[in-house]
Amino acid sequence: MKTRAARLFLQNLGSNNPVFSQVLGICSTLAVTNRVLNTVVMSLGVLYTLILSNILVSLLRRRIPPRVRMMSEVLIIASVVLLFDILLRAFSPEISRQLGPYVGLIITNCIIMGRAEAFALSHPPALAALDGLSSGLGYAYVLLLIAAVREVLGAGTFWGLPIAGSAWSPWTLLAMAPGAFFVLATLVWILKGAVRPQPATPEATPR
Amino acid sequence: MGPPKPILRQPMMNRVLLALVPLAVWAVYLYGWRILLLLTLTNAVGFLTEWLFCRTWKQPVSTAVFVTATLLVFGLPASAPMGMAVLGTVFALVFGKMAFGGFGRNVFNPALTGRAFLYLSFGAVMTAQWAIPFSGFPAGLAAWAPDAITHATPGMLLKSSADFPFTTLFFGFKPGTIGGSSPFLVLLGGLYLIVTRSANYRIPLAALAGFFLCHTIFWRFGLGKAGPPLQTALAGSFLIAMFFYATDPVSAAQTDWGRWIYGFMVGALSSVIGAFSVWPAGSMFAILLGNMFAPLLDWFIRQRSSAARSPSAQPLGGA
Amino acid sequence: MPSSTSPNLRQRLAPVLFLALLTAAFLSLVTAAHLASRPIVEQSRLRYLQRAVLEAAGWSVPPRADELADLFASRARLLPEEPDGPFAVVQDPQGRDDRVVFLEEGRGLWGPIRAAVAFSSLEGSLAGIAWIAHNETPGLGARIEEPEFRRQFRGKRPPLKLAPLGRPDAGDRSTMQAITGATISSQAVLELINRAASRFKPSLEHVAPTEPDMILSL
Repeated sequence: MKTRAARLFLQNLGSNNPVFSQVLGICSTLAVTNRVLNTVVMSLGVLYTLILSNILVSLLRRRIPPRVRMMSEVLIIASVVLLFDILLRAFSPEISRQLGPYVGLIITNCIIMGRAEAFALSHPPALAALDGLSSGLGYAYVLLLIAAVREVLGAGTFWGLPIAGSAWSPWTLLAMAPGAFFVLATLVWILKGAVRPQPATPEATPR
Repeated sequence: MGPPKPILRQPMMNRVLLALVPLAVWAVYLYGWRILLLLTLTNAVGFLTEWLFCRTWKQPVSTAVFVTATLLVFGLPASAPMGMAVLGTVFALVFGKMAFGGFGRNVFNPALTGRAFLYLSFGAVMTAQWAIPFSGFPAGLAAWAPDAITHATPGMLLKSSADFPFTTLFFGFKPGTIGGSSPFLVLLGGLYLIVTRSANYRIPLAALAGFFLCHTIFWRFGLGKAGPPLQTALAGSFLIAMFFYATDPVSAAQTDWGRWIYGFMVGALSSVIGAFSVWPAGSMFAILLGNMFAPLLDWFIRQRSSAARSPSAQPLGGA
Repeated sequence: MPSSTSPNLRQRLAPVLFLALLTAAFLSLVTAAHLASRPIVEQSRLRYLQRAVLEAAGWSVPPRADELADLFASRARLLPEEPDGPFAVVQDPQGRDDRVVFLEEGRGLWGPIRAAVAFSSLEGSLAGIAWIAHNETPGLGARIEEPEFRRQFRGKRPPLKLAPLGRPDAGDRSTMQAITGATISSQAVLELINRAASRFKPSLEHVAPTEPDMILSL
């Protein structure tokens, strides 16, 4: 049991990473990663949502009728996210203002629905929570890497503090959404090479 | 229909390089010997970048890399910092060419991909700091680089109804991009490419038609910021874009009808973007958009011609 | 064995019932949280409004909530609601001028950009602008919050138009510098300022300069 949990944890960080291996949650990856601060808050939001929704789905897994399975999952996820949004707005209005529409968009993050479907529905709550935690961490560190590259190169700052000299001319393109594609692609390229050396697959279609 | 096998020597690319030599000489005359260093540096870095990829693929480096590096430099303002040019070259080759699988497989013209990256990233340097060229004799031939900077090129000023004499524009005694200053030399090189069949005549011809048609309409009716069509075409880097960048055999359309449509589209879009957007010049974005549609145009035209040959064939059979 | 229809019916009804129960449970949870937090949210919303109005009028706003409320109460006078009328008249920090503040909305990329736009009743030009709320992309459109961007409007004379790219016409009083890569946000700001300006001109005759003494005394 213990080794199984450990393996699950590592898989979600590495070979089964939600972002660079499953290529899920790309919308938020592109949208929030231009500043490290936004990315941290977004990652915390996703982490919290993943753990809580995984636990709730897992607790209800024997009760949820298969036919309305997906509707129930969406309902649970949406409620959890709305709660997060409400709490943020009440107790941290400054961050809530900065994140704007992104918090609500956590609902549409495929990773959360994906983990509920693929894991929480068939595993006990403790394991489901661990799965949520590790998937969330796997999501978070990839996003933070992207955000660090984008903020430093695209704005010359890190966590909002200027770290590049005044002679540095920021690569504005990296601060725009298209820039995230380039950084993400490069990162996937590097990480897939490092984490999962794939056997050469024959080209699917002759070009 | 596969791409030609990459070979180390590509006679066609050599002819393109030859056609670019007069432009490089003129650039040195206008902006001093720093241009030569810029060209050498980017060509070396470009070669190195491509070699790193080709080494693992066990393929020779194509001569096209020198065309890419040179064309990238020709699209920059003369005051562009060395580091920026190098960054643009690396980006052009890695994301514009090697990421697609190397020579013959890229969708977008690599030099323009690199230029778009620089343009969107370093707007101030790319659009608002133009070195004022030397004049007389020996001009730049005895200098390293000009000091004086202006904020606008004739191409930009035409939009606010400034006027310039035809000879100034045509022979290129004006600030602008490194390669695009002299329409006279561009036309000379372009005609050489067409005569030697290194560039297909349909593309620039259709592009000129598309541009003049649209721009004349915009100008006559005072739409957007359209200046007088002939001067606008001569003032900016429109002509070099249409003759040297749009005709890139890899990223342009490959069928005859495709070339007509692609060329017309690129020319018309240059006019539209130039007249209505906040960007001073539209040729680059127009060509990138054209590149995007070129494979689709070719596919359509091949479908139609194969359907015409065998009327019973399914139109959506998939080749 | 029960009758043939009953298990079938139960089979069909069970999911519906389950979903209804689940919805009711979660909905009441979210609603309760929303209602419980509403006073706090309203409070902070009011604070943002007051802060924006004062900032637009040229004040540097104190961070503490009670100080902010005091400053607002002592320097700003809310005007009776009128269609297209100004929201408030605020004394400027030097005490020489009255700033007529309008609330205006522009269409941003993700949602409305709500702004307070202040005009100088003395000079008839823009005095400043501040955001009440917006949802622009952090790092791009949200750069409308940066002081350098907002400072450019002081002294400008609308209607404004976008300055050509890369040509900083610092002295030009009728152009606005856009934010690179954030065309829609910049355009929205431009339009909301021009709309506020068109509301300012007619209001000038009625409200501000006719009785300057009255306003100054407030």
